[in-house]
Amino acid sequence: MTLTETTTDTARDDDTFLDSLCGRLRPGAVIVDPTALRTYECDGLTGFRVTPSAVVLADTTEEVRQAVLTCREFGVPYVARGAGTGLSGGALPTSDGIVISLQRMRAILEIDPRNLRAVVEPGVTNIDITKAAAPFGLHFAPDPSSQQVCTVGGNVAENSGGAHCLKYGFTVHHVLELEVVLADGSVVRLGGVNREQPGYDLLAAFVGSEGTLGIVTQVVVRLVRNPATVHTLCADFPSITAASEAVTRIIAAGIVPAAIEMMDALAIEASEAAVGAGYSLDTAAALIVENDGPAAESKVEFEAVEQICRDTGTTKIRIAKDSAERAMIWRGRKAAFAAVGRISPDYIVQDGVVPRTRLSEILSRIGEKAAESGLRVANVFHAGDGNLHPLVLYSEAEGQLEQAEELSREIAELCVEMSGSLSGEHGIGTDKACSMPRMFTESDLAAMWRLRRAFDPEELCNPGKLLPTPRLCGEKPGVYVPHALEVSGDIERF
Amino acid sequence: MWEPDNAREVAECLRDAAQEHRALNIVGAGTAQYWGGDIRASTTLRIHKLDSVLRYEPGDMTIQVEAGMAVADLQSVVADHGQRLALDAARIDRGATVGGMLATADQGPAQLAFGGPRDLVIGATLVLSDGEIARSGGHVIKNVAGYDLARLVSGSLGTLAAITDLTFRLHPIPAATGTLSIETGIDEAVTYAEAIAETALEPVAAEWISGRLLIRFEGTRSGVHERLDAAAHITGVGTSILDDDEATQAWAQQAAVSSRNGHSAQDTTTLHGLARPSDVSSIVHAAERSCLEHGAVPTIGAGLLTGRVDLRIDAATLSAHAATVDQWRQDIESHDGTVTLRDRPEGLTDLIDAWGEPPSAVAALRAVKAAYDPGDLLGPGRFHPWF
Ligand SMILES: Cc1cc2nc3c(=O)[nH]c(=O)nc-3n(C[C@H](O)[C@H](O)[C@H](O)COP(=O)(O)OP(=O)(O)OC[C@H]3O[C@@H](n4cnc5c(N)ncnc54)[C@H](O)[C@@H]3O)c2cc1C
Ligand SMILES: Cc1cc2nc3c(=O)[nH]c(=O)nc-3n(C[C@H](O)[C@H](O)[C@H](O)COP(=O)(O)OP(=O)(O)OC[C@H]3O[C@@H](n4cnc5c(N)ncnc54)[C@H](O)[C@@H]3O)c2cc1C
Repeated sequence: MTLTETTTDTARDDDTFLDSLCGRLRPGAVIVDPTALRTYECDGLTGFRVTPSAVVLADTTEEVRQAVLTCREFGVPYVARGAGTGLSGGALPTSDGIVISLQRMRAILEIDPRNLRAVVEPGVTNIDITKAAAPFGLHFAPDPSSQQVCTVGGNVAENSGGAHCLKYGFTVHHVLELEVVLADGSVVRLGGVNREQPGYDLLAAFVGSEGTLGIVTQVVVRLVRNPATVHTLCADFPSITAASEAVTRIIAAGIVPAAIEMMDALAIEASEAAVGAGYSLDTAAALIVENDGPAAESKVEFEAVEQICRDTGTTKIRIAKDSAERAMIWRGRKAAFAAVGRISPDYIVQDGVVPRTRLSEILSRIGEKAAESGLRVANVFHAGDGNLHPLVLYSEAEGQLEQAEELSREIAELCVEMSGSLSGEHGIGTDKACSMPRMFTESDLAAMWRLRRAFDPEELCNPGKLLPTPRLCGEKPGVYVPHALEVSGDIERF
Repeated sequence: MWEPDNAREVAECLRDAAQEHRALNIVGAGTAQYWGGDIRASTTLRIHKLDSVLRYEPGDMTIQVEAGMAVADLQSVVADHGQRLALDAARIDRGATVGGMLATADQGPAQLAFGGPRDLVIGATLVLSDGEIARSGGHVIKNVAGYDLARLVSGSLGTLAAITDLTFRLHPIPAATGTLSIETGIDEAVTYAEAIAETALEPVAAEWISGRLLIRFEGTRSGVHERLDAAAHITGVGTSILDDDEATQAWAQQAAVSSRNGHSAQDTTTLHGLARPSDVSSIVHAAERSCLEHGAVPTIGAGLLTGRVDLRIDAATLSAHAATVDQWRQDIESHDGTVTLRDRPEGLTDLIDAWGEPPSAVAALRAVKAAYDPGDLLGPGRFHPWF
């Protein structure tokens, strides 16, 4: 679907608004040139495009504040933007609104190895935090595949995860404090010097709020000590079912690897074409498992993982001999997403979650659905978390877009039916707002609206994201599908 | 006292209360009833009858239980499958409920490795002040769909909504656990703990309790032994590796600091201080100084790598309690930290506030409170003087 908005009100107050905005900010901070604005018309979900009326390139918290205050005065919506790698249309602008870009605020203000923390501006890339911490033997644990480019502000907004989040947790577990510009223009700090703080945990509620509760202008992140040892293997399996069984057994054995990732044959084919990391081309599925930690523990666990892989019928195990080989295995995994472009003209990335015991069930259902629709689906995902990333391959030129979107949406909703979630890490954004009623009832959503309005009563801060609205989804946006337990009468909803 | 049997009845209670403008004090097991400010509520809403397991999936390592279930009961259910909720707050032995745990955001020494209750909760059902039921999160360990209301009620002390059920992520019970102990002052204790952490030995807890350092490791039997030895090498002469009974006793002593024994200790106040880990030793010294000055007897427990300092003071007079709290609070606040008043003798809050400097986001806290409980019927007074 391509969403093209028409400006409702004509030029009306635009000029006074823009004059006012320019007047309050340093020269050159406001972009209005139509060609330059096109850079900001979409994020990583390129099917949704809207050109904003202006972009503010903020250098300081004060500039963000001035931009927010001006928007408030004129009733103009705004959306924060980091690197624009988001995959749910979270940073999609509105045509009558502006984009506030944080990408120029990229200073690393402090590394405090003693307290295991770093103070950074929101536009710092994820990988740059780890690079700055490396001399101290520390790193920033959340490691999205997009870590070379995505910003920590975006990570906070999306509560981003990554391959190693199975053991280390998500962004919410690694943020201590935020400086935020709220919708009323006030600058506040959420969280504090300690992970625990008195009062409602506004910090933790803010993380993952997709830019709808305020704009992050500074982040204090936790740094994690690099593990003493790391073991990585890549195991081939004759079927996705066998690989899924291995995942289930690893979890059931009480092992918490740093990462368990799965790639199917199509994903491997794409990745190999792109980076040639040495994955087997003749296997149905491969698991990448990494164990880290103190030497004795990680060795014992790694051997147990190896044994489980053998018991579940692995056909080949490749163990990384050194850090170079380990890096190569990961390169193949992290490149797989983008590499799919090599085997298909277009693709949609889906991001549903299922309980880990239901992996093989959902994967075979996805296979069936794909066969029905005549489209191919590649799978490369965080198996240990049950977080799927089915990539629906299609050709827009051959008119398959709608079919692909339909299949992708069905997959996400199937995850919900299986007691899972619509999104594990990419967020709801614009993309899935209208599917929210599949997962939540009207009263659940009403309770979420209370939070949103408490922070932003005028709904100017990234409107139209995360929560369904009649304008976006129609009056009756969808039907709540009761949970299996409700159907069986084990729990009630009333 | 209202004692509903299930979530539906909780909703009815809240609806009735809203209609009658009746203020409610939500109680789980009642182990933390005095934390924060004094409540002005005539009716107690006890959640303790909501105590069943709704859904347990050992293979997924997740469990959904009603909010009134005792954490200790939950632990024994999941222990049969070699699993645990990785929480070891002091109040658990006294029957603290899972709802009370999240509402107090209380955490024990294992916070170092696993975080607090909000880091382990993956789903929640809340009943709002008008009786509306709201769920957030779900049954999977990774989930970013919608706002996470479970995290919002973390630390809410019964003032935002009634929690009726929670879903948790579980962890495996480790094959072995080992504790190292050494009698030492706070300054050396901090140095040792930092040195042990720096060598990637991955302690799961590092606590100092009035003159004694305890470091806990978890893992395989041989691995834990290796790391205990390596850590003992750092702490040097005088270090002992505790056997199981000694360790149990030592950790019980740690728990006793932040948890007064019984309800009637009228001359005891417990305080919960939070600061940067690097400020712990100076905050411990400040606590000792304040107590000395005002004739109070301190018992101190400090999470060395987490920045938590629990102070229990025993003193003869109410004014000595108040003066000690006041002075220590000023000290911690000068280090950007906070102090929360927990258990205390009756009347103490007439002399000092339960809460110190409001955070910069206090207006947002108030706005959230107003959005969820516009009639101020849930735990009114708990966050006085912030709101
Ligand atoms: C190839 C590829 C691989 C990816 N892999 C992963 C992965 O493994 N795990 C994962 O979790 N995600 C992944 N993503 C998704 C994406 O990279 C993350 O969501 C990332 O955190 C977005 O950061 P960003 O700076 O690009 O944010 P943007 O796309 O610019 O914005 C994302 C959202 O955050 C908000 N936002 C941005 N900055 C701020 C701020 N300072 N204050 C408030 N709100 C703000 C925006 O309004 C928007 O709603 C991947 C994306 C791509 C393209
Ligand atoms: C079996 C038993 C029976 C008892 N009977 C009595 C008695 O009859 N009368 C009496 O006075 N004392 C009684 N006590 C003692 C009293 O229970 C304790 O002092 C107190 O109940 C501690 O409960 P908690 O540890 O679960 O958290 P609580 O101390 O109950 O709660 C801590 C904080 O969390 C909030 N909270 C707790 N649960 C929820 C929830 N589900 N949703 C939202 N907020 C919540 C509370 O409002 C409070 O602010 C009893 C104790 C036990 C163990």
